[in-house]
Amino acid sequence: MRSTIHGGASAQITRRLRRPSVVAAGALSLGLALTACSGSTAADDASGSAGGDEQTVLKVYGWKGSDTEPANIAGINEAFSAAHPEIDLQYEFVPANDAYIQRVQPELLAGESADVLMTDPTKVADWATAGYLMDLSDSAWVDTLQDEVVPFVSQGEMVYAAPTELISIGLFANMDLLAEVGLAEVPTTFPEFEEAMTALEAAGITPLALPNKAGNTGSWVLQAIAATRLYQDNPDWDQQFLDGEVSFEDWRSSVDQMMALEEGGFIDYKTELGVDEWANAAFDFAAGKTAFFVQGAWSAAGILDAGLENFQIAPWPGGDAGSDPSNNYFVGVMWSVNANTKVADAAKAYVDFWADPENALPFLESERAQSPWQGGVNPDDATTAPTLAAFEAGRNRFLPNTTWMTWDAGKSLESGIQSLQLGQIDEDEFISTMDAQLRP
Amino acid sequence: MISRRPVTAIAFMAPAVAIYLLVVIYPLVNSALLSLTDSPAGNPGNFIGLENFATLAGDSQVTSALYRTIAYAVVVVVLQNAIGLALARAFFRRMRAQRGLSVAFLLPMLISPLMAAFIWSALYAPNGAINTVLEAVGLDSLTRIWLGDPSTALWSIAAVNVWMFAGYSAAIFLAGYMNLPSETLDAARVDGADGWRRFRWIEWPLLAPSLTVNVTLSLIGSLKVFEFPLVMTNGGPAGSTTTLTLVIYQKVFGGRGSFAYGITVALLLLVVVVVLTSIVSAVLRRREERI
Repeated sequence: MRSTIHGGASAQITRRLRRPSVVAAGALSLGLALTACSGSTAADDASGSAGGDEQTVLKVYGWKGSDTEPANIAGINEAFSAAHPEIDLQYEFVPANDAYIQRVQPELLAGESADVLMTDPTKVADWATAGYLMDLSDSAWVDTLQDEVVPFVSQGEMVYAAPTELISIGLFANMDLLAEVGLAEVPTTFPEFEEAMTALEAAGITPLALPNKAGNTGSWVLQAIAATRLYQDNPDWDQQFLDGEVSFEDWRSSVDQMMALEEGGFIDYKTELGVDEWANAAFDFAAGKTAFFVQGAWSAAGILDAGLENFQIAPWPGGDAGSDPSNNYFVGVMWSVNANTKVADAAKAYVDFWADPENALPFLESERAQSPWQGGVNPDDATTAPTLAAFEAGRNRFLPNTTWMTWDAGKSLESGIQSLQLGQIDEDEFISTMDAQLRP
Repeated sequence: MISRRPVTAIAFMAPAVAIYLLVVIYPLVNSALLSLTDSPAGNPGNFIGLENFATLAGDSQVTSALYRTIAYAVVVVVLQNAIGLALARAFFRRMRAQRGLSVAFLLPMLISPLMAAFIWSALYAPNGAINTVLEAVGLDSLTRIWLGDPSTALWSIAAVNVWMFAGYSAAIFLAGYMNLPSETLDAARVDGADGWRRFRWIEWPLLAPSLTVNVTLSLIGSLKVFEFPLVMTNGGPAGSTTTLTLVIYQKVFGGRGSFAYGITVALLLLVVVVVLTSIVSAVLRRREERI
């Protein structure tokens, strides 16, 4: 009896609860399904253009402009806002490299990223192919691009980005330490470089650091050497390599020179493979621990902040006696417009603003970079005097990272160099392996 | 009470099923479809059939990364659980110390893997703390370029993994120890079983459920190891620490049209994790049932 009463009450409660619960559960599933099916409107709201006196919201992503790497972005953005009061510029710093791709690429896929995106040649190639970037070919600045830069901002006949800089990856020299052994200038040939390093060693100064734990420095050094030893005589080598007319054998003298640094006792590659080029190298250089090291010119601002003022960035002195060195350039930061933007005019206005060399000059000054525009304005800075001299003399090689030196190929090269430096393979094996792996 | 009315049952199941479909099945199906294309950056690409899988079959980088990942997982699973078990065994009767020790055990796990990787990178540096200590105690011959030498780099990373998660395994084993029937342990003691014999014949068999959980979790975690090799070595030197997850990462986010191929490698990893974990879990469950 008791159980019947209990059972009856329970059934009543269950009946009372059942309908609302069923409805609630059904509503929740429907809600989930609708959420899944509908696109978010937040980005539309954020970047939508408003009528009347209201400003157009323009969202921009960039990996420059943080506290640690300000790059004068804030100043340029202020100048843009002053010139375009009708636009509400919302600049967001997004960490560089992998973190940037992880954030932006899925957003692009979802059609909800920023209106203007900081890019580089590799990102332009990938994202333009995927249809994520707007064609900017009709922009007025297209005609003023330097010829060498055009392939890095284009896919086919279309232009998808406005470049901001040509940035060298070269030899950083501590001029105070060089002065201690009587040198007033960065060496310009390999014999002079060896002589300088010998003198520095004799004075108890570590001549050279090439930390290579991440694999980047090894590749930079080899390419910096090849900029002079290979590309000076054959500037069309990349295209010939793509066409199968030449082989990686042409890099042998550059490889020889890289390995000669160890044979000469200036470097111990096995030790360098345990040192982080990103976390340690610039700080060690700024602290005066080494006279020379190799990095991108973008590190200059950090070195200055760390307290070293008297240094120069020069092309790697890779040539024989009597030669002049060539720059190894990376066509660096660019601006692209999201193909999905709803404020295309405002986005193009931002890119156009940067394409004016006068507006971008503060950025070049911070980056210690050169202008990618015909007749562009270059910073007059003692730090980059050797780089600028080579630039103005036309001794420049551009990292072919949209053709054969792709990200994957770059990884193969880095790994191959590490194997060579470890003694796992000899130069012949390295060259034949690279020839097989790097040729598209 | 389970309702016999199918509408009610379906309505209650629907939210969970909807979430599962959205979060698990949809990405999985989408990934499988993407692997059949040449998508360069996640966008819909051209259908290329099984071309990516054919490439995968002949990709020596993937093969060596797979073997390396499995070797890494074996070392981590064995060491992590051995150390975890030893810690739990050492402290399970020390009630007063347990609370503090439990926190101490779990502390490394509370650090972000990225932060741990940076910390250990500094410790492993040629002039870092580890080599400095070795030199200070006269063990100069043991100093190494830990992360720059292919013979030590992967195992140096494995050591960090073990350091980070051995305490977690210890906590699970400790919970297992707390559930051991005291009558059985007391009876064993009365019968003269002590030390190794008690561990071997009483504790070890009774800890089977904890072992199953620990081995399964550590196996899954170590097969999917990513942050440690990414930050500490970036897969180097000379590819000696490139695990399967790093290959996926490099393909998916490395650009130049290899997104879809990266997804194909990710599907391989999924199969490897599911197959190995299922086998190990089945073997350990069977052992539990026998005991």
